Amino acid sequence: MASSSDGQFRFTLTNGIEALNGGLFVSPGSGTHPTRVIDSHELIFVAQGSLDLFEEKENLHAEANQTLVLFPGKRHGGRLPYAPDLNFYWVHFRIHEGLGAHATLHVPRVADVRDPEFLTEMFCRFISDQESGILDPVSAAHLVGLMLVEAGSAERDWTSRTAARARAQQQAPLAHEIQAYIDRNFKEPITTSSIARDFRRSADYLERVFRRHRDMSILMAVHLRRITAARVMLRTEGRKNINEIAFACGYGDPGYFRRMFKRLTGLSPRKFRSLYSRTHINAH
Amino acid sequence: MSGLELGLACALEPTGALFVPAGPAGNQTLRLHDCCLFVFVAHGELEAVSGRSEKRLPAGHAALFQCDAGRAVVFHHDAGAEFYALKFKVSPHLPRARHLAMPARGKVDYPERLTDLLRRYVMEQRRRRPSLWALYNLLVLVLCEYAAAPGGSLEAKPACSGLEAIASMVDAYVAAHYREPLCANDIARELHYSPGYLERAYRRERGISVRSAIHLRRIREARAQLLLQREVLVSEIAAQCGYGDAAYFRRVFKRTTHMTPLHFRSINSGSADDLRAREYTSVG
Repeated sequence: MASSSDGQFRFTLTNGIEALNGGLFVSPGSGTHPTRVIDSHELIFVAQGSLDLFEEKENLHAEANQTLVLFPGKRHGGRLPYAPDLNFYWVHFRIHEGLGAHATLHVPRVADVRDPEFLTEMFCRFISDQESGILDPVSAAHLVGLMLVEAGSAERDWTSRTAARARAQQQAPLAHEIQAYIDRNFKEPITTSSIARDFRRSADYLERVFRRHRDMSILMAVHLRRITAARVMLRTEGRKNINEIAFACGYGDPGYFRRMFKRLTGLSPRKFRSLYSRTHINAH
Repeated sequence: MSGLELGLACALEPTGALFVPAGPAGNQTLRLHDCCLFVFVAHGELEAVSGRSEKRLPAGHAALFQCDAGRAVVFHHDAGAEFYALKFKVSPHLPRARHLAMPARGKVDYPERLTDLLRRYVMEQRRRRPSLWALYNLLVLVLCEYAAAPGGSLEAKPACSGLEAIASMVDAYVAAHYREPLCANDIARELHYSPGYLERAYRRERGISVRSAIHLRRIREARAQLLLQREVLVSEIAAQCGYGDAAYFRRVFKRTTHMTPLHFRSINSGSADDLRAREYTSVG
């Protein structure tokens, strides 16, 4: 229980997970995943390329932006040689029973991730804190908890790629088309009215349809898409300066980009970069 | 095998959040029903009044409040102040959990790390169906970040858990002496505990044996040295990291990293420029 008698608060914290270690695997261009049995669970997040493994008699295939769960005590290994463009994050963890569960989380064997950039950033945080020796067991356990939520919740969200997306497409084909248009064109100077012109509908109508299904304006969706692209570039493209990134993400005015970035992430682009660029890899 | 079923155990129950972006000066009142409140000031200054206690919080400071039923916390914020407030309830004691001690108020070491987590919390909360588990994990990460600041401690005070203090002493001893021949009995002798008691205490707190902790520390160092000293023989690196017997080092390295030292070095080949980045690369 929390107690504050001596001016200190004490909390008892757990999520039933014990995080072991994590890392980023970059394909060497040859070789195969070793066949082995491990004594912990493993969560793999494929950032790029695709990964083909087997576990006991089951064949497993995960593509970019998908996660894969492996189980302790089962033999797993590579089914095909590493794809040359393969990159994946991995973390080992144990699950402790008997904590008195409040609810259950289902993490599918292979799952689409609802927000790949979010998951990547959580892995970056884990790995960089682990390497600099400041990752405490409580933070580690709860970072893994967050990763598992990302790996387990894709289906319930509108933005998931397969099943949920097909469902959303049926329910709201127009809102879906608008999002797809934004995903394709966010690097251009698009606005709600330019989208309306291209769709040959009134801006008000598009706005209403979009808002009903996404709970946000079209303009906000454009900003979110651009800022997500900027997060990726800030993390991975260390040579580009902030102005170049602003232009590359569809912002003509770097000052406006900085303001929007700050508003949507809480951090300036520079601070964000210093927070997440440590796990950056520039080889292969 | 269709995936992973996780029983979710939450030690704290998130019950709401408030984010006040920079704007004109004003007041905000939060009613609390028997819960705790975490406040962090990102910009500007904030005065928080709860009953008779008043806290003036400048940017970069955080505070915790514990409130009985029906109590309100009133925030008077200056123009340009930006702050976050998270409400949560404390669940009954959970077994096997770690304690986290933190001061009632304090300055945060890395405000951008905290801002990043808080922003994610607010974003999750704004989703149409926020995930309670995502919120819980984020909340604990926020508290860990705050507890890492001076005055807080992840190693709960010895009065709270003597075992944790012992485990920290072992960690510190291993960090200082892993290059020398070292075994669990040496540490027990140095710290004036019986080997059996030390072993049990360490395992209870860290979940691994003292021996494994020594190996993990050594292998972590070996991985870094294998890449930093590319021309140096594996046997010499083994000796540097406290392994007199190179064959034994290879076996432990393989067990921990799932590949031989040379394989690890070869798949992490590249120019010297990449080395820094590669220190954060490891292999699954």
